[in-house]
Amino acid sequence: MKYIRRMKFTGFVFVLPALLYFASLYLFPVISVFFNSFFKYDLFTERIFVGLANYLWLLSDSKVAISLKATAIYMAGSCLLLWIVSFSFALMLHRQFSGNKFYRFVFFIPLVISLVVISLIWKVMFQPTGLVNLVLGSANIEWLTSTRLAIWVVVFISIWKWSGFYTVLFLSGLDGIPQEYIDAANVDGAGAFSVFRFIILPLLRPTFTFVMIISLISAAKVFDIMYIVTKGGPVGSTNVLAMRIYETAFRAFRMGRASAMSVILFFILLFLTLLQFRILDVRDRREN
Amino acid sequence: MNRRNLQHYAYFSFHYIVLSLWAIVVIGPILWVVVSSVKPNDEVFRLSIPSLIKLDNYLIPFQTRPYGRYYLNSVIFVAIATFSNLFFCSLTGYGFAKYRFWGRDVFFIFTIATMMIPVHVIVVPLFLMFNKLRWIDSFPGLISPFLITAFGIFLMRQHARKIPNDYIYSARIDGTREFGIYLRVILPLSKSIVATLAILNAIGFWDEFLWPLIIATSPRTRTLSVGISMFITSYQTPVNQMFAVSVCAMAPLLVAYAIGQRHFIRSLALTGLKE
Repeated sequence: MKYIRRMKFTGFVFVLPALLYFASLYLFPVISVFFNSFFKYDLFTERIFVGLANYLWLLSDSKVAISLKATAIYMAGSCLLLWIVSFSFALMLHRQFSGNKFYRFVFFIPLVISLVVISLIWKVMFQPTGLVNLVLGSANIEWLTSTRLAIWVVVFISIWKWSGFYTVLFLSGLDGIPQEYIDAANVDGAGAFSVFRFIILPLLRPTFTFVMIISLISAAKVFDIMYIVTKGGPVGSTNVLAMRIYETAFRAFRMGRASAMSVILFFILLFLTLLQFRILDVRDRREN
Repeated sequence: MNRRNLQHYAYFSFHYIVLSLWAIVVIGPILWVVVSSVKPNDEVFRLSIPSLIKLDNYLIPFQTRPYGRYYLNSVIFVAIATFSNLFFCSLTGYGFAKYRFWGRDVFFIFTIATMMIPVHVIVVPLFLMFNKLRWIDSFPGLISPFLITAFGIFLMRQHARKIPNDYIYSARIDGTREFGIYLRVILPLSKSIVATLAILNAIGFWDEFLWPLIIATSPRTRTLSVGISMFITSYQTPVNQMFAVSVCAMAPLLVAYAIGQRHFIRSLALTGLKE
């Protein structure tokens, strides 16, 4: 009995450092971000309680609206394209053909290059005199100073960086489909399209759900690309939420307003995560 | 039969064209950066073979700017954060997997819940907290938010659960102490998953940008990714030198990837595990 009690204690001791760590570096900051969002605070003077003023400001400020719009456009654009592009790549690379290994090697390279370096390279490439215009043979398109084009440059860079990652996830999903199912369907006379529509797609649903949520979450917090390539410009067209939080907190030193925006970002991420759990949960229940 | 063959060829040429185009889009810029990094600056924006090889592009940034220091800082940051993760995540994962104690499941859910809080949401309170601790522009301030990751714990717990209890029992009967079991039984059985976590951590921490940008305000603690971003914001550096530093930043992980490609890909695929 004494022995069992000691064992229980040991297990608790093993997880205790991590629990203390998460309590002080995650739980406490999350609580204080909510707390701070009701104050006016600029680092140098005493903080003042302002109630809901920061949130009212969020609702009325046009820059915040622009920011939310940029975030929404970026999330929708980059995620949709990522799903299509990486699923197509996965379907192609899943087949056996000569050169398969080479293409796999190349497609996954961007995953090990840091996003800052990637952004920097593409920023130079997209200069009016840069390589992109040279290769396209187009006369000095102003990619980065056009309010219409800049966001798509950013979306393109995110696809360059991340398509390999989602291709890996789709590929491991495709590998999980037993070849017997496809063979059996072929014996029954099913064509390529039927196999795709009635075997591959349904069996890949969990992978699709996972990829969708993960990509949306990572798109909601994008920062590096905008910071390097566009600085949020031109005219705020790429000024996503994380970028605005950074500027408000560490350029303008308005910690209260930045906290209120962090709360919004928190709820966006919470919503996406709960959605993920719910979808996984529904699926589990259907399977059992 | 003939029509079938034709369709087959049509599909495969389409297949190769698409894949090759993307391969060019991926490799092209990297090759261009490598080649441009040894060019004289006025040739960078031309698609040409360098008229002379300027290797001092690689020396000047490290001599006139503290890029050597930034590089070292990044290596220190990645090394400490990764090793800390390997130790604490495997220990915690083992604790959650193989022991029963009061509140275990609640604690585990709490741990997993922190996965949905990226540093982006808590930068402001973390900065304020570290400001009070006088940790701005210090290594403790730079590294501490990355010492343990919930994902690492999750990964390790999933693995530890699959280790048969008999191994643990027999070690216990032999008189091994509990921490000794972790050290001499669990860790040796977890080599492959530890390598996976090391790869994922190294990629992630080498990439880390927002937090170092905020907390590392002087060259003393500034990391390479922040240093590189300063080419654009502060320094008026020639593009070829900027590319030389970028090549130095890409090199370690690219070489590691070229050597251990299979392990890299398997590790990345593991981020997709859900159960």
